[in-house]
Amino acid sequence: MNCRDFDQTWNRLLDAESGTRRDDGPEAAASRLARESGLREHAESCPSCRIRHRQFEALRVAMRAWSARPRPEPAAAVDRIVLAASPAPRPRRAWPLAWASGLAAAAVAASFFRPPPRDEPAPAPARRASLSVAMSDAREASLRLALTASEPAARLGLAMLDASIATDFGPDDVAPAPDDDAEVGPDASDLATRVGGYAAAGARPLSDAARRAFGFLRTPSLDKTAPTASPRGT
Amino acid sequence: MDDRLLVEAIRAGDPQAPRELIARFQGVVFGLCFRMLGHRHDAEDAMQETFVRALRGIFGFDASRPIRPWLLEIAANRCRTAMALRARRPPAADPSRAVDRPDDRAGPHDPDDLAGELELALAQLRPDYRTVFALFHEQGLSYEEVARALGRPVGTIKTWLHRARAEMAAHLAARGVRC
Repeated sequence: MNCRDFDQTWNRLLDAESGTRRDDGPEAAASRLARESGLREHAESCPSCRIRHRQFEALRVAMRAWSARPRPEPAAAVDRIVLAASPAPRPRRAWPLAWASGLAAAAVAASFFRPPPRDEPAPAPARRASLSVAMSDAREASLRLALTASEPAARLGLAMLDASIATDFGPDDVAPAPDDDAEVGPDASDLATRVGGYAAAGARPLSDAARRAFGFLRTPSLDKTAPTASPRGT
Repeated sequence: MDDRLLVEAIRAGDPQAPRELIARFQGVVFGLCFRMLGHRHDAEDAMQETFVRALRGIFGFDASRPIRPWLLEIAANRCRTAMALRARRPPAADPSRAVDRPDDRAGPHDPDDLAGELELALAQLRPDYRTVFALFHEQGLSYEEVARALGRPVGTIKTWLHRARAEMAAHLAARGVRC
């Protein structure tokens, strides 16, 4: 036996010291005695292992005493745990968070184009290029915001914006364009109305709360003739 | 009822099955939590969280595997989380929050209290070694079960257990414990 074998043999002996593994049958006892004899022989010839041999013997005796001691027991807790594990009634969420995020993103985008109060003079018609740039920015912002929640939310937000824009602009017009003073795009209030309508239409199947939340985007005319088209791609 | 049938009973909604699961494994789960956290109340909290998570996640458990290592894996994770939270907390003034560790100050001791001496030696180990020693020798898990519970390779567990024993043997010798 060399020093490495010495360590491995002690490991095997100590492995068998835990209560459930301890085998006091005759075969196990004979095997243990043979191993211990080999350990003693090596320890007598190896000064460093002799010290460890004494230490491991003391450890083994201590482990036996330790294994026989009463173990710490938890306080009676079965009822408490079962109660804690029983499913608690969840507060009803008006609509899934991801959808709400998408709608919120669309609402933020649409809010840039809310019509002015009726008693104020209407501004000059927005230039098509500026509106296209703004819509593109809003589209990107909507996408980034919605993506933080979920892909379905992003799709909903984009679908509402795209559906609103496509009616008069065509999808190619959404991309940022250089200044173009010649053409004039759709009226901003019409666009805002359309975006709000799609937001409300998208929210309606989900919950009344969604409709109320985005109702500020709806105009009286929209209430009379609610949009029948569903957002593209949904 | 063996463990697999017990899992099926919980999944089937048998109201007594969760109680049976807790009664059957609370000792081993609490033992691990107590060894890792060193505080009875914290260990009971971790044990409760362990069973709550296990019962809520029972449908995701692979019933072809033994349940005890799975429970101990959850418990070890809960204890690590609790230890991380404890490390971020300011030191508590409440004496009841003191860790339930044996008094390891040098001084007169009862040389016949070998179990107490081993507790002291165990308390001196670094947490990983202490957990492995407790799982193997106190809870009777195999090397493979300990490895799975702690998410470590079997070879690492064997090394840690060997080092734990060597350190404890040296600690006992330094305390004057002889056989």
